[in-house]
Amino acid sequence: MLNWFSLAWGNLVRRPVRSGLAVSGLAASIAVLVCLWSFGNGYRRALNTELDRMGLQMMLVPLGCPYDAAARVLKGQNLDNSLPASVLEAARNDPAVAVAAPLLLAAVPRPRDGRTDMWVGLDETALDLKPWWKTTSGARWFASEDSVILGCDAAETEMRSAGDRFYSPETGQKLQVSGVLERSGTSDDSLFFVPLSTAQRMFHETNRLTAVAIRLRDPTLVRGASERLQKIPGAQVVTMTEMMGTFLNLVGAVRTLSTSVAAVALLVSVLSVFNTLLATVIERTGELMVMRAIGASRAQVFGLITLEALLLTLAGTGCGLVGALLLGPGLEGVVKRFVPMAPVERLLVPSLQIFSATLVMGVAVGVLSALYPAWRASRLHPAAALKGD
Amino acid sequence: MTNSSQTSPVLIAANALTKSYPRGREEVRALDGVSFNIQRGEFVAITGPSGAGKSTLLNILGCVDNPSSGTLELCGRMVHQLADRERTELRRTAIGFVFQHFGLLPTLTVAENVALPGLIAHRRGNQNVGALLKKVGLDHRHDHRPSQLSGGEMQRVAIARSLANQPLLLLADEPTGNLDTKTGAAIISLFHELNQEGLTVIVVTHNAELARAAHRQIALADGRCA
Amino acid sequence: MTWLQLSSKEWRRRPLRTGLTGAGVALATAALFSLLSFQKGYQEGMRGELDRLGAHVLVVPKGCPYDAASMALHGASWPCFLKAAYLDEVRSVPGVATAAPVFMAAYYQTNGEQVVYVGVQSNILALKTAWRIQGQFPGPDGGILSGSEAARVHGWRVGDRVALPGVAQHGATVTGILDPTSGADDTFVYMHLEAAQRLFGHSNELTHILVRLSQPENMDGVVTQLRGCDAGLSMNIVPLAHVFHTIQSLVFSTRLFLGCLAAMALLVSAAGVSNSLLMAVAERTREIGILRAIGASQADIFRLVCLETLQVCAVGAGGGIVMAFFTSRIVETWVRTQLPFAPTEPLIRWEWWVAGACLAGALIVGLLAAILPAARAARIAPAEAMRTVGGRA
Repeated sequence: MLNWFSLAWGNLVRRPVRSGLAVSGLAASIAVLVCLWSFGNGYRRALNTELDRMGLQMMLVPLGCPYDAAARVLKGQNLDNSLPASVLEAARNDPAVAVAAPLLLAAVPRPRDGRTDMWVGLDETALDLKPWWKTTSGARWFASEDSVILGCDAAETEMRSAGDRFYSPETGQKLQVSGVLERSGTSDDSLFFVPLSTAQRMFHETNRLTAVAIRLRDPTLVRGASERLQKIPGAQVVTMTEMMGTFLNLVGAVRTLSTSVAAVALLVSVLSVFNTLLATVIERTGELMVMRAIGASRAQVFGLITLEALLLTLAGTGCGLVGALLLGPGLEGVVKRFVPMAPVERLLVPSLQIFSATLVMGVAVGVLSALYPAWRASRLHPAAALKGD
Repeated sequence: MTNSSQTSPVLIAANALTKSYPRGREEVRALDGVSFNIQRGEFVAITGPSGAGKSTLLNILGCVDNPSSGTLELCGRMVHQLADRERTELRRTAIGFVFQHFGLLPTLTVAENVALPGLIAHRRGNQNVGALLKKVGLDHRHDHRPSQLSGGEMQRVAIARSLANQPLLLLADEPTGNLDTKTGAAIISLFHELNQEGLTVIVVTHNAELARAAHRQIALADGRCA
Repeated sequence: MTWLQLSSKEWRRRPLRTGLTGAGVALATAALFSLLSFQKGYQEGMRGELDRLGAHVLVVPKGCPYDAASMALHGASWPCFLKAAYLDEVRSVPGVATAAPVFMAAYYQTNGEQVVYVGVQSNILALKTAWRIQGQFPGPDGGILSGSEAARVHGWRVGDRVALPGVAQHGATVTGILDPTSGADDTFVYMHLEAAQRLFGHSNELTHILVRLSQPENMDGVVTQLRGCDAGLSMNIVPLAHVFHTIQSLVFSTRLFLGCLAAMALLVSAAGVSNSLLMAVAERTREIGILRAIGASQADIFRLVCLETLQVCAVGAGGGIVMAFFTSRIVETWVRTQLPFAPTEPLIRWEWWVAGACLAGALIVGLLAAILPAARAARIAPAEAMRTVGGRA
């Protein structure tokens, strides 16, 4: 049945290569933009959730530049400084502190496999902070000093499950897997956990710690506690807001830069859509004049061209969104290489909000790029139609 | 505008129509004072050499263009100084056009081409597409594309399309100009048949046969009635 | 007339379309150019800033906001302090050539602008080897050494007795003015350390210590020792080169990703070029047929279309590169808000090889985009173009 949609659609598909080029340009830029957008949102949300669930107010970290430390952690590198174990005692003695959980972080580069593994040494206080910890076998803690608990992704990569032996060639340590964690959607999924003393031994950091995570009895006491804990020699206090801020800042900077470049690509593809539309109008001058001659009004012609533009951009947007969904899992691998400590799962799945915003943007772009060509089309004088050339 | 509201036999009354175009620095006078009347149900051929102003006159009669001066009355209504919107409405409802180069949309099937005026006029539901195609003898080709048709078949589809909105008046610009003699003859007899059924037909043509088939001729030369 | 001239007439025929296509190429090339030239500028800018600071290691108080390094470089008001006594411990660490104590304070003037006062001892001169002073370094009893920009803004000359901007009811004699250093020092007002401590009410306190090493290669060893000393437990030792290196490597490790995006932008513009050409070829079917009819070969037509593309891409890319360079200051201002520790020097520098590479890249991509349209054009048979296509209005 003939209607305005079928008319517009027919005009687009009669030039499949051109329409295809315009649509694919648009789709590519939108796919990338949506991925970047989703990643940024997802990362912030994931970080928030993870830290919220831990219920920390602050951490004691080694002296040095926190930006540097955060960048190293993100990239999976060792920090250049550590805390003396005495810091832990001092923290636990503070009246406002409910839980002070020590941890030792170590990066083990695996150049042959093209990745870096992150190892974490914990003691039992960590269980207080990680309510989501549950192994598939049910055990919640290390069976012995030579145990390792693997995050679900780490276990997959190493192809180990509970009860298996585990050998770490870089440290020469023989371990037994006492459990594999259930998927929690946090960064734990890709980490290797060992008892604190084992870690200190493996990485030659006896009596040293990377950080102490602090939960206060009462969150409102943060100011006083912060001042007191700041005085502990050899350590500095970083609040969770500051820490999140640093990570987000670093990741955000990269994301903003990437988004701008992708936006340039989008602009370029919009220009191409505009060009295509304009050419369409010029090419079909004769047809459009015939339509005017048989009684189509200016508004109807304007509407037809605008409809074509909308179909073009919506097709591009739709393909872009599909592309983003397909691209996402691939990009996750790339992201993991650059940012091993990122809780990557489902980071690249666009949310409903992003979906609808992208669609709206596609519609807006379509309408805007149609304005001039459609206006040109509506101004065509039907007189020449009768000359028929 | 409907037929029932009009009783006068005069469909078109043209008086001293002129039309000038600027071309470069000169003013070209395409029409220079043309006057005539056309009765309801007439079959008129507008003839004359190239450059005589035939197509220009057809443009004005078809409400595609306004004359520079003079008056034009269509069904008792003055139409010579209408705004674009009103002229468009007339073209949509009262006038049917047939072009020399057929003017079919290549992406649409034969049936869709004939349905196009209905879409433009916001008519929904059942249109008389089938009946129109039958009238021009092409209902068996309803789902073909123009590229699959011969010249004569395309022209017949164009004629069917021009009838879709039940116009008062059919205008045709060199309808046989791109056809061979035999096909042209078929078109001529189609126009004749339509006119017999009461449709007012005005054609611009070089074709002597077509001119003879008409009731009368208006000959133009240098923008004036000869 | 040459083929080149013929092709150049063609794209003039539809200026809007050619303009839009060219604009697409221009944008993509501009992005690529900015990205490529950015690295060198950032690297050299960082190095320049470090050189001008003169210190290898920065010692700041514990508990300070963690952009302390940036504050030391660019000037700010410090909310935390070091005990002056720590200075001796720092000095006693082997490998430390100079430990220059600093007391920095920033005040706001009535017009909302910030003026930065820096109290130092004369050993700062061992760090600031590039300084040229008109006049003298101020003594402990008073007097200021003004940066060239600060002096210009306030209209100071050597020997003037002036009011201290932002500090009510205090004046000093301008004992010296620095020659321009093209760095933050130009906007600072230096005075003797003790005078500053007195003026701002923090005797025996410092905001930071600038440490210059005798052997910079041995930085790690010295840093460990600094951290290990008694005072080390209350100070933050920031090995500047390392920190900048980490930030730099984080930014640069994403350059590969950003580069891919810019390449994608270029490809998208190529799609636009291809589209544009396809439309042009379709429009000129008849003319191309005529050219063939009068003896042009298929190769000639192919070349004609390619020549057109090269011209559009060359002009587009060239324009884009030039535009990128001239708007780079604006872009940089925005980039600085995104990156930590961005140096104040221009980040995007003009380099011929980068411009050349971008131009070449755009031309190659353009040629690739031209292949399909050129092939289509070449295939147009001479006679076919002359026929009127039936069914079209």
